Amino acid sequence: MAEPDQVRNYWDQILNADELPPATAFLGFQLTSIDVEKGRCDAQFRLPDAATNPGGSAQGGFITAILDEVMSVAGSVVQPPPAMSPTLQMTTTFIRPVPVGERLDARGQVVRKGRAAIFTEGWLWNEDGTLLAQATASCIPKSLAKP
Amino acid sequence: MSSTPTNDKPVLSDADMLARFQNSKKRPPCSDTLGMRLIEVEQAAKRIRMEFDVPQMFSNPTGAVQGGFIAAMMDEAMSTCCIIASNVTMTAPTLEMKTSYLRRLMPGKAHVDAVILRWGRSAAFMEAECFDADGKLVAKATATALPMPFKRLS
Repeated sequence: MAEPDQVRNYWDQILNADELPPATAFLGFQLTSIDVEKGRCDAQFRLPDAATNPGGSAQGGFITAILDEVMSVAGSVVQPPPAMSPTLQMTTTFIRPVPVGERLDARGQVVRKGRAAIFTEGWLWNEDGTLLAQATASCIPKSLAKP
Repeated sequence: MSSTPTNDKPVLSDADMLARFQNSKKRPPCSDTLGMRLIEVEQAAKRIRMEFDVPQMFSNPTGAVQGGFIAAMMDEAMSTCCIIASNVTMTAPTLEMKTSYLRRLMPGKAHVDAVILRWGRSAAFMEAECFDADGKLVAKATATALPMPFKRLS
C-alpha cells in the first residue's frame, strides 16, 4: 500500500499542473486540499458564463460536473496511484440556484472503499457557506498501473 | 381554474414547435456550450430528441467525456421537454437527477431522448437516454422538477 504522503504528492502534482484536463479547467477548478487518510478532496470552482441556463444561474449538469470532479478525486486518492474511480451512478440534489462567475466551494468524500466498489458523497457551497447542492455516487476502483 | 398550463395559448403543431426552437434567437449560453440542436418533437407523447456535438473541452484525463457533462446534455433535454410540455408557458428547475453511466462517451456526435413521465401541478417526472454516434446507449437518467410560470424566474 502506498504511503499517504506519496499519494498526496502524486495528486498534488496532477491537480496543480499548469495544464489541467479540459473538463476540469472548464469548471474553473482550483485545488484546496487532499486528505488521503479521510478520502477527501476540497476544491474551489468558478463556472464560466457558458454554463448559464435560461434562468440566469448554472445549468444542473455543470453542477453535477463540479461534484463529479471532487468525488472522483476522493475516490481516486484512497487507491494506490496511478488509479481512478469511474462513476457508475450519481444522484445530484439541486438545493439552491448556483451562481456562475462566483467562487464556489466543493467537497468530495469517500463513504466506503470496498474491494470492488467505492461510495462517495459531495457537497457544494457558496462563499458564505450556504449549501447549494449535494450528491451521492457509486464508483469502481480502477488501477492505471502497468502490469 | 384549470391546472392545464396550455390555457389560452394556441397549440402549435410538432413541426411548428420544432421550428420555433430551432430558429430561436434567445438560446441560453449552456445550449450553445453543449452544441445542442433540437431535432424531434412529439407533443402528444411528451417526448423530444436532441443532437449534440460534444467538444473536446469536456473530456477527462482518459479522453472520454466527463460524466457531469453527459448529465448536462440530459438535463438540457429534460428541461426543454418540460418547456414544450407546458406549451412554452412554464419552466421546471430540476430538483434531483440520477444518472447511470453505462459506457464511455467520446467527444463528437451524440443524441439524447427525453420524455415526461408525469407533468403535475407541483412536480414533474422525467427520463432521458443518451446515445453515442453508433446508437449505443451510454447513459440513462431520471429526474424530478418543479413546474413554474416563466415570469417567476426573472
